[in-house]
Amino acid sequence: MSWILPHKVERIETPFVIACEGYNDVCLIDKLLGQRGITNCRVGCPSRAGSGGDGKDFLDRYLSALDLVIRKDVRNELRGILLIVDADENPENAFAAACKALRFAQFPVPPSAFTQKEENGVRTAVYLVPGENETGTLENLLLRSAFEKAPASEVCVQTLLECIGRTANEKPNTVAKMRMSALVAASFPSNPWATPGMVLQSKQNDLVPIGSAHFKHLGDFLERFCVE
Amino acid sequence: MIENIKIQNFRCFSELEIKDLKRFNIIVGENASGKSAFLESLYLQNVKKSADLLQIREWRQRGYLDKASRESPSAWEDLFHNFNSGSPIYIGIGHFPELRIEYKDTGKISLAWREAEPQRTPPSASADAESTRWSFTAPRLLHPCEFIGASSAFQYRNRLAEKLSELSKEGETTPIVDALRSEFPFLRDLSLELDGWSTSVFASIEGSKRKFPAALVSDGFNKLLNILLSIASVPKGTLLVDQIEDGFYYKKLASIWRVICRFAVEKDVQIFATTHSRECLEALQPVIENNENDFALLRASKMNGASKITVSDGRRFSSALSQEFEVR
Repeated sequence: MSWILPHKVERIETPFVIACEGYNDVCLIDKLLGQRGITNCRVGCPSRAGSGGDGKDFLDRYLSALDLVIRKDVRNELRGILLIVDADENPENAFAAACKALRFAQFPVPPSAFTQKEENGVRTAVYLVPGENETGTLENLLLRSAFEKAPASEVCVQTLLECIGRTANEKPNTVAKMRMSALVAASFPSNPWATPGMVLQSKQNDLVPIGSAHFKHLGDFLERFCVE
Repeated sequence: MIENIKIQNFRCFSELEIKDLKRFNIIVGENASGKSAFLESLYLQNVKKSADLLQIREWRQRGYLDKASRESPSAWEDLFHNFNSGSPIYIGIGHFPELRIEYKDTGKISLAWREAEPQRTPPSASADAESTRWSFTAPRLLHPCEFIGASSAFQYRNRLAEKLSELSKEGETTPIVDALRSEFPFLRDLSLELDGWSTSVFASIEGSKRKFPAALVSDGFNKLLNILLSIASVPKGTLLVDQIEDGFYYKKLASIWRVICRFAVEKDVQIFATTHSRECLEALQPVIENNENDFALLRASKMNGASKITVSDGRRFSSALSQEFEVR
């Protein structure tokens, strides 16, 4: 387990850290790190306890807090911080918000998404999910993998959503989340309230194959970023 | 205000240089990491003669030393890193005169001072060459400093009375009473009364004709009284508080922090406080959030037998608390 969730964090000794928006992203990255055998990296997301709001609203504070934990020793062990955030409807805005968080925590700011910036031995990068030149969220990526494995389920989920008839005025990203929730609920009778993150961490996960080609771009990026 | 400090050969510190200190400096770290020793080093800015060092012995509950015992090496050697009294202690605090403490073969402890120079090389490199510049007379203007120890209840009584008396003469007790009343609404007033052979601070309490010695009201009341009186007694100076949370009910911590911080700003007093308490730090978070530039987190730790302290700024401190990271 490579997580760095709040409450537990006293000190980070790995040279690379990945900061995501939320728990589901952490679960996916954790699995990809395991699959790729990347051990010099930990992944986490902001705490939202008592604050409400979105995970991305607290990335600035989370990065700043990480910096304090990393700098517990005089020796600065950090080599890189990677931010993984949803592109949503507007990748430019998503990238700008990620840069603002990096700036707040006084880390180097990369010139564009998917590129690395190195300053004083510390590199940073911003990865926009689902991938380059795309809008969308983590759920889009997960759905692609799930529907590739079971193409029939895509039709079924779509039929369900159309039957309920509540998606017409919703943003595509919201619809993706609805589709993912419906798929997860229908696939996990032992826990119909499971989240995508719980599915990814479950040993019984046959819904979202981590080995899917849809995760290759992200996995390759992780490998490149975590090279010492 | 003290912005930096250099320590050499004192207690658990072999060499320590820290910068970027702020008005409120919160010191955390596990037992024996050097928190109290750091406070002691700051207190040394206040000593004028070797007998003043006895105060530090008392805080450590090492008992009273008569004049003859003071000439034994064992009386002082614990001040020196690894008990190495063969090398001097150097304490350089901000722009205040640098202090040198030396144990002489004659059995005496000697104090000397020299003016601080911003860009001077470390003391060890230049001590011999500059030996003529040391003065054995304490500087006339020392930095006012008060220490509230973790186990110093015994020292409260007389000092509290002295401090309140000084304020009373200046007609400045009302802000103290008002601040105390905000946390302890049953308080009506404070006064000085004969208590046995000495004078003590007494409190008039709502619903009681009889006044209570402050120490009998509650530990928290007495602690806050001590902190506020200490702040008021060292304007433009420094207050050092070991284990600041002791005695306070957890639900009062947030408002007590606000009172202490407001008072310190009003009196232009810099605070260094240690704590082991997560509740105490969490209660401080809303105060830091709006005043990040006034706070620093000092984390003490020990490595290879020597202590070190790392400083984090208020923004990182506040972020770590809001994100529920373990900062202690």
